[in-house]
Amino acid sequence: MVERPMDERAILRTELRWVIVVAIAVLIIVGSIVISSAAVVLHPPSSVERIDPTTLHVSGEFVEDNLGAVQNRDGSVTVRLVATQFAFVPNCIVVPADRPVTFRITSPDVIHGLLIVGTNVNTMVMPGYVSEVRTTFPRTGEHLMPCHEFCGLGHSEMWSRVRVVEPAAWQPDENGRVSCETPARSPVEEAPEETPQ
Amino acid sequence: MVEDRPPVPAEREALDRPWRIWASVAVVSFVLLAFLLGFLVVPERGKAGFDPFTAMCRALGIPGFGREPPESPAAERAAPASEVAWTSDTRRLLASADVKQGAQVAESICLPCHGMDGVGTTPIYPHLVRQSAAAIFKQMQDYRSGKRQGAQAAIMTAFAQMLDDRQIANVAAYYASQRPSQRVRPIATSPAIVELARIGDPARSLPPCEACHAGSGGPIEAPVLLGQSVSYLEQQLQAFASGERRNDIFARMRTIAQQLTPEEIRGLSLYYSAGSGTENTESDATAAMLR
Repeated sequence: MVERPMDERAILRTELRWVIVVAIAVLIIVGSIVISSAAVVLHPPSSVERIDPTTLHVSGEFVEDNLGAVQNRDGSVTVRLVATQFAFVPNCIVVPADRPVTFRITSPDVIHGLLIVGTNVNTMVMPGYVSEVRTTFPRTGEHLMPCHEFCGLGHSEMWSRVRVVEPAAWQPDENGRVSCETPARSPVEEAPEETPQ
Repeated sequence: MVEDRPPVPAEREALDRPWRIWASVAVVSFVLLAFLLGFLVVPERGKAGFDPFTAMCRALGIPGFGREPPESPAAERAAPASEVAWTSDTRRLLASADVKQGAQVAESICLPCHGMDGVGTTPIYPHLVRQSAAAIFKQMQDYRSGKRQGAQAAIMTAFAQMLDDRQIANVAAYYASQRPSQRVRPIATSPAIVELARIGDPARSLPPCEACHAGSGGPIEAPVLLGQSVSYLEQQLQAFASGERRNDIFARMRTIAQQLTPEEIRGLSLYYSAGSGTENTESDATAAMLR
């Protein structure tokens, strides 16, 4: 059987068809990134921040006494966390509902993951970098916060709790801090008689 | 090679030209769009006040454009759990330690209680044999700075203050170089204790002891537990639970010890104390069962 050379235009038509297929695939991928970042507010970290992982506990904002939820002078809420083998420090966090909360987290040892179940808070925690996530919790309740990057033999026991309380029940102490040990009354029973400040 | 290919006929080149132009336009505009999206639109969402250049530099991590670290008044007056930091200087100090000089320090200071072979002379003095240089170094530094409190800390603080950084590194290296005379096995008193030591308890977020204290994984300063004296282990777990001892960085051990029941503290201490080398068939059976 004699092989006839293919017509040049037939090759171009085939190429065109494949270009269309590839372009559609790329458009779908880019489109889903655009939609997820714009509509579902999932986006990559907007700022790369470095920190020395060996001296976290000695100085700087991630010293043990400075971890947990704190009300800043401008009224915003910041939660500072350290993910270490094999625990989140602190292992329980209280935040107010309906207020913007900024999570700042880093690791002194290996890569961990921050995931607050039922919310879109989800980031990798890397030694040497500060991961920052901003969110607002619309409802009160308790969320599980497991580590979702395998970090060693104790990985499956590494989890923490995030308790979301009514804004009125979130009463900072004289240092602006709120911790799970602070006697917090449940929002239901404290709501009527609570007089703010 | 370009030379190997036959020359492209002029009419074919004319046919290809618009394709090439449009393909280039498509690729360049795609890259531009992705760049704008990734470095400008998405990073700027919800954050007013950044010009595009700053937003781009922040997203790329170029120094000088990041936000000032937020105010943290507590950070300035913080008392760290331990002043030991595993910086490259500390690691270099440990790596360059002199075992012979360490032996001299051990002979003149440590010998009466910890022996030259690192075996404690009474049960309340911990065995230093089987420990890493990093583990001994960290505790000696914490004794010296007064960060380690509770139990026999007062005695040790006095001794540690007689030594400088290099001597501490040397003596740590000396005891780390000692080899134990016996192989030891854990003593299983109950399957629940073995499970706690080897698997942990996810419901209480208790990681297994083995994850850090078996000489593989976990913080570098974590001591090896197997073969340690039972009364020392029990005393230290109680000191962590009560908060008397608080030199564990990020409260790793305090958090765990507070959740243990007195029976578990007793059982785990016994499990790791290893009964000075006695073969324990029951523990082997339990371990095999759990494996």
